[in-house]
Amino acid sequence: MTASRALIASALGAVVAMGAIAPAVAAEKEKCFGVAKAGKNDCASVVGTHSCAGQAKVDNDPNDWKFVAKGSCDKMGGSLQPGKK
Amino acid sequence: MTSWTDWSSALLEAIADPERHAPSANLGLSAAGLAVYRNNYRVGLIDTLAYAYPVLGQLVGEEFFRALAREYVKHHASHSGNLHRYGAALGDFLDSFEHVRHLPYLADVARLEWRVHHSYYAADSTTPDLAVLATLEPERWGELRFELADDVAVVASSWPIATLWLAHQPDSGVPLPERLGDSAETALVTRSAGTVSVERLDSAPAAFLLALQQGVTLEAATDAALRLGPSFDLQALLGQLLQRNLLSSITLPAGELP
Amino acid sequence: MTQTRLPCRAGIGLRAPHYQQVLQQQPELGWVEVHSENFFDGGLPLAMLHRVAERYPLSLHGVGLGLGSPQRPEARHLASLRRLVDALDPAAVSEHLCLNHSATRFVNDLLPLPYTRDALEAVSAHVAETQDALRRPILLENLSSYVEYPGNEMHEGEFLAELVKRTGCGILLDLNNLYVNQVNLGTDVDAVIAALPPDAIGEIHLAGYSERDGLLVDTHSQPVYAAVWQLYRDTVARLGPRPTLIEWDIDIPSLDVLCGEAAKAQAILQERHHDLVD
Repeated sequence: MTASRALIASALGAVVAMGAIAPAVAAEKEKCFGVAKAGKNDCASVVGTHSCAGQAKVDNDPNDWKFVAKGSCDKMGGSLQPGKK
Repeated sequence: MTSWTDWSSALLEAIADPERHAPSANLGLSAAGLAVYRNNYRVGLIDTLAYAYPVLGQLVGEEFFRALAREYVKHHASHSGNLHRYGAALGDFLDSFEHVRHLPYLADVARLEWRVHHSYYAADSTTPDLAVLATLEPERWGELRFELADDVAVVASSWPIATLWLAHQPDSGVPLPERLGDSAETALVTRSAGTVSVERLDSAPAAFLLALQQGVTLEAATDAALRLGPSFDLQALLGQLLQRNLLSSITLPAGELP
Repeated sequence: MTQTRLPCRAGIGLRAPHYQQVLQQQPELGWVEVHSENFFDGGLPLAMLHRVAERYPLSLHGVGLGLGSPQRPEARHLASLRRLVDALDPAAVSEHLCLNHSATRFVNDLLPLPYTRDALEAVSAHVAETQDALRRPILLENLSSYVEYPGNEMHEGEFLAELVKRTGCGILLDLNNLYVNQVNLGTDVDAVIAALPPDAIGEIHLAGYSERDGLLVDTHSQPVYAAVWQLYRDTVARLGPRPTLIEWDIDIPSLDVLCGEAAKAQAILQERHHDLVD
């Protein structure tokens, strides 16, 4: 028996024997979720994308826009420029 | 008169791909009306990408992100009535996007974000049936295949993608990484009580979980982990996988019946 | 009206910014409606919707099947919708009478289809397939359109009436859409409503539009306009009361403002029908 096989037999055997293997039922784990917690995690605000409305925004394709990143990758100055890989 | 099916197809093309499909006059499409639909199409898909890729948006800034998204929309059509499926290839698109060549980690961050997005909506996982273990002698447990739940994913990168992702979460307290070179990370995506989390994996568990994700046997996955860390604690990891409900099924080797 | 179990009252389109508040405060509303696709598969969205459905009659309003397309509805989309309907047993399920895909193309929008006899054959089959899969009748909504097939053999109202006859589906009458079409395309609103079998109209939608380059665009970004309220009064007088929804999808206001719009609709429902319970 290979080292891996022996390790699997003992490790999985121990896990089963310990009885530490009763996971929360999947549906239950979603249901016991509290309202306050959802607010804190701000999950509720991200449900969406689908709507039956037309778009109010107008997207104009700019012809001469230069791609210059201005987010956190720029804010960090040189530190986020990859060095040697 | 154009048939109803031809007119329908022509309208769809004229909206989604205006550069190649200028509608012919006999379709009776008013320019102003078509403009409303073309705008809806573009803005709708750009907004969808912004929704699925919030960290990428923070990394490059909103203006850059929308320009990037506009280019992606030109090259990647929608293939579903469910917008939550749109945008899967943005990471691959970034690999060849010339304007981010100096930011090579973005593509992997995008691949991680796609898995986070997928996890949020993934079907609620089923619990593996451990009774199948009893049908096989323990010496053969290495032949089993453990499948990760649909809301679980492993993403490997040469860049510190988990740290980058965490640093952009409100209140995470994780600072942006100090440097990017020599800091490869493998990220584990999980969902608990509806909230998706990302954590950094050590190299041996990372190798093990990546192998499971690829669908190999427990033995092959353990081999991969032991090559990276001889002290790999399989028992602790298996205990976690089961307790945290990160597995959806355990499959017996071919020819074995439960 | 056997296609839904919605109460004959006013409700609101429930959107992400109001989930928390609605679950916590449970305002007095006849019912709520959500977009089906936002709750496909599982996780937190589905868990939250279960909680909403414990408190309010729920309407699932789909935007993605595209039953007016030349191709059949996407199988996995229909399967996802079926799982959602089975899980929640909503009071109503609706879709749009719209085009959104061909064999090679998806446009995630609600596009008008040609109203021809050939189209009617195909669309009837798509509606029947959907109702068979969901094991219940659905409501189909009339559209706001910005283009038109030049060879229409009937108008949208006649097309819907034929679908009702052939499939047993119901109708979701969107009065803002009708008004927008009247202004943009010269649609004869009276003729469309007159063509619809009154008993098949199971729900009414109200919303606000915005104006762009001389067109009214159905953006659901405003209060209901006065002309649409008047059309609503006339329609309720003509058909009798119907479950009525306020839709607001962009620049979403406070829950109070939204409930205020619903209260206006509720008042109109009761103006003419004093026996309706508030």
